Amino acid sequence: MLIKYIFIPAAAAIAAYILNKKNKKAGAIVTALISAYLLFSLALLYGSWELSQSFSLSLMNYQVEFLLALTPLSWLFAVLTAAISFLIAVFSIESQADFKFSSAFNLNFLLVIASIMGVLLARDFLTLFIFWELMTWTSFYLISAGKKKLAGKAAFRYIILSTGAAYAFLMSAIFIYQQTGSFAFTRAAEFLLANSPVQSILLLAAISLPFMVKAGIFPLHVWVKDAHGNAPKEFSPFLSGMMLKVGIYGMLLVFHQLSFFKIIENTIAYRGLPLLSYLFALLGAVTIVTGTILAIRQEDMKKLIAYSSISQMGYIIIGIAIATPLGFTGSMLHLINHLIFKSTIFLALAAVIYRTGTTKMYEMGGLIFRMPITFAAYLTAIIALAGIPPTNGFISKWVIYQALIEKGYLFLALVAFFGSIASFMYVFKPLSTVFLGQLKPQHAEIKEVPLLMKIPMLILIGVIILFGVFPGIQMNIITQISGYLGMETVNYSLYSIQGAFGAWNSLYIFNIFSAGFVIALLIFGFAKKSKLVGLLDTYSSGEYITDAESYHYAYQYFRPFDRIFDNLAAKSLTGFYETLTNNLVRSGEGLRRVFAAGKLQNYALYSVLLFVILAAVGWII
Amino acid sequence: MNNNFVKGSWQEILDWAQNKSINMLHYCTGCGAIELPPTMTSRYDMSRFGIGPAATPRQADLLLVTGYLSTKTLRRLVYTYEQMQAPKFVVGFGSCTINGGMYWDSYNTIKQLDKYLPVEMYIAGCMPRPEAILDGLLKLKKMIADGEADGYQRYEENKDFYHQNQEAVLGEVQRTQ
Amino acid sequence: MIDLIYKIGHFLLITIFTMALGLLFMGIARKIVARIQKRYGPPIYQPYLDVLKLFGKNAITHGFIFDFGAVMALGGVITTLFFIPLGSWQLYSMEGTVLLIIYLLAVASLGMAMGTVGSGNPQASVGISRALTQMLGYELPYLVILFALIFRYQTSSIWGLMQAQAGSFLNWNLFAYPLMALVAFVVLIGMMGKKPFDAMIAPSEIGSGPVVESGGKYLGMLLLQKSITIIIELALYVNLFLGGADNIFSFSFKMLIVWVLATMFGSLFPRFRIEDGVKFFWKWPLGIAILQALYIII
Repeated sequence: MLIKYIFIPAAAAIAAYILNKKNKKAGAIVTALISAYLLFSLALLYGSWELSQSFSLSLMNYQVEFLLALTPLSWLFAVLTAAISFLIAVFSIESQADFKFSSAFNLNFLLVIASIMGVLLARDFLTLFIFWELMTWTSFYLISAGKKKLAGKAAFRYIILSTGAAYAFLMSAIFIYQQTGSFAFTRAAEFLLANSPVQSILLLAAISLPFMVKAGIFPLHVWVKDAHGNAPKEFSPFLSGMMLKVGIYGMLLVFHQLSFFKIIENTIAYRGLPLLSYLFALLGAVTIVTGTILAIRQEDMKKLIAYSSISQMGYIIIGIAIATPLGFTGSMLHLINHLIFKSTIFLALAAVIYRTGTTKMYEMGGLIFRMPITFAAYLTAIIALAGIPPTNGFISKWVIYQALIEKGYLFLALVAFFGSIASFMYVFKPLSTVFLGQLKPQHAEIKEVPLLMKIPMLILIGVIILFGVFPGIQMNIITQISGYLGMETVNYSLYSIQGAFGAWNSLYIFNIFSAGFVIALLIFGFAKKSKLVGLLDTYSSGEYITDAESYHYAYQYFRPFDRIFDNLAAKSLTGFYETLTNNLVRSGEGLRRVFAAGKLQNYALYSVLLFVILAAVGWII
Repeated sequence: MNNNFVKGSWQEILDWAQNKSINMLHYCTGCGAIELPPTMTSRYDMSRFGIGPAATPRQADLLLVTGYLSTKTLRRLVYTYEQMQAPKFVVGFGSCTINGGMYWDSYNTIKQLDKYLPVEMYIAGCMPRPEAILDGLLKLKKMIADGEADGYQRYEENKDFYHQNQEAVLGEVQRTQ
Repeated sequence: MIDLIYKIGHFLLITIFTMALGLLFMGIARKIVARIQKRYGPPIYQPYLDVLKLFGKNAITHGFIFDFGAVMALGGVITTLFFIPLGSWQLYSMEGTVLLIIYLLAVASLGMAMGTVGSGNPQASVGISRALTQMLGYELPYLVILFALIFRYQTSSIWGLMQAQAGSFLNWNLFAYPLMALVAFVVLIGMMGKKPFDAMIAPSEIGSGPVVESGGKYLGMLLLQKSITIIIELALYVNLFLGGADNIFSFSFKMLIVWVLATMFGSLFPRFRIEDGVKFFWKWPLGIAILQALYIII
């Protein structure tokens, strides 16, 4: 019965492809309907944590079992996937009306949803691997449907990294199968716990590689910028919102269900935390810093937000790695909140791209006057991303800070603060260069996006504020997950959360906010009414300005800050990988020249040599 | 300095506040501007009368036309004056604004500022020393407090007159939008 | 109902008192700077007259976002004000307020940034990009200091941190952790935008930065926002390092002393370039703050 969550989207994928060939909008409508169905039926399953299903298959002499089960963790991720797919599908009904590859897009999108469901419901390595690879391949096709050559290169990088990591995973899984005789997680957990710690840690490291690639953790984050930036504009919200989180789901599997934390419990500790966990948290910290500093330098708005996604993943990793109740709660809260506001940002940017056709920020400006609802969505989402009350982003960041200060991890807290303050800078850049500033004459006539594109953005704005004022709604499921994974829970009520050094009460803050605003509004209202003037009538030392182009400050917006990090950013990690692959290719060249140079005599010589060796060993004759 | 504020009328309260706090646009139009730094700095200290510099026309009350005005500068000056918001005051500074001064026979400068912008008062001299500037500004403050500094209203009422004169000298004038 | 009216009255009283005190402090600062420069300077009550005049002037606006930004800026600081203990007055004693204050100040700066950049003038954008970069510079040492204090006293409410310094005046954090107090003082100067950290307002360089198109009531509201921000930052410093106070008068006196010192210090230097300012904050203040924080934790 759980298998229907995988089969139905897969079958609908084919239907969507066929229908889309007839009518350009049909594919997106099918996607929307299917994800709505998934959302509702999953929502009804809340609380039934005993569901499981298994299939057996016997090939030659091997008996293989595929296990599926619904856990609180999988339920949360599945619901988030279905919800965000629904909103994106509604958005893409209009925005893909002229897209050349809309049939293939919807086919692959539904297959991605199906494979993510498979990944989430899997309870053994084989099922997980099959659906993980399916997810990687279908998303590869989706990414390469973006901006022609650039998207192709980016997708290629993505697939190479993912496949390499997936093979490490497979090797480790097969090793465990050989030792325990089954692929199931439970057997693997017992085996790893009983095994020698060093070997278990190495095995788990190999298993976690594809998850780390998917989540974009330093140093495996090099594919994120180009892939998220050049993907089709409707798929970027899904990539940044959900697919990074599937990597985090895998990390949670490794840490808790495959007993990584239990294995390292008795190893050397740093201030009460096993050293390996602390190193992992440091990896998250480096991710935050890298993502933030590189985001501030970008001129392309989608790449900027892609880097921002990487740095927010760093927060989640820190919270998971320090493994306190507050840390875990903070990470899960941030996971859900990040999905919500990152999708809002990407949908707003997709709306802008839909109307203007460009992603470079210095080619746009003043769009608030033509697309106010898009602006409102973007503004609310960046207020949440910068972590300003009363939105949901503040709550998750606050809980993570409480977790870090409670334990006294100075360096991690410093990096978390740095990421938060600097995020203020990089989210302000698109706001100021795309939406505010001078309106360019070629954009003077563009209209706001159609209704079907406005609805998802408005829904997401509502959710941001709702979760900001009532964090208790999210805390319900997170408490269930904490209990399922065997951790203590955090006290909370509908609108308050208990931290380590004090409680957070959202309703209070919201009321006071309103009071402050009302006073300011009164002062404003009682003053004289002001005169509305155009954008070109502005202080320019008395000079008349006629072209908006030269009066819009957008290129290299934070040049002084970038100058500080110019030397550091010049040493790029992508360059390191490229040098590595070039050296590999060259050494392969050397081998090729020796063995496969094309001379017939060499081939004959090798064949004879091989025959002689095999005869000597006794395999033939 | 004066007791207008006890009379209780709101406009008079605002006039009193305006006279106590004047933002002067820091725009040096001509060579007379060299007398402004001594007036603003420690020796003669304009700020003790509440007069301080403003960076942009949007924030400024007082436009000090310091010296001769070529037609090139006049074009920008008119634009700047129209960017300022009411209540605003223009003070002619030096003899060039009164009758052309040293450049009375030049083909390029204007001879009488009052035809193009509504002037509240002139400060004579070439150039007036800081003491003269302070004297003039104090008289301006009295005029503002008494409600007699209504140049901006004159500009609104006689807009055609001023615009005609400006266009006679400058040709076509681009207005604020 | 009576309770609600009482609360509203309390709100308004605190807001008006803070605005008045802040404007008075600004006047005192101008007087002190003038005296340092061997001149007389405007009278102490000059900012009141400035605000009155500004609300009587006409203004232009560049659209909805320009108005909204001004309201959000002033609304944000008024909201922040309600969480700071001023002497014995405090409206909302909530735990977890210290981090909240930092983020609420961010609301106000976001509002001002949005509104002023919405004017379409690139000089406003340049000013705001400088202001945001500098904010990154001074927030890092400040947050390290807050981290150390929260960890030391195991409470993150300002009221709690204030109470922890009760007793004799030798309990003040100024004497317990003097290096941190020094770093916080330098950060205070950066926060208030005094020289040498005032590149974002640079009048002749970028036409007074963000407020280039604001006149009339917008400038008036930003001036009021500035006055409340001054009081908030000084109150934070006094509560964290000088032990707060029992009544509003000694509290204001302590704020005055810090303010006079900050003004005198801030009138001596030329302006830092933005990247030099950020690098300065990340070198000595951050280093000293980290050393002191490590000393506390270990």
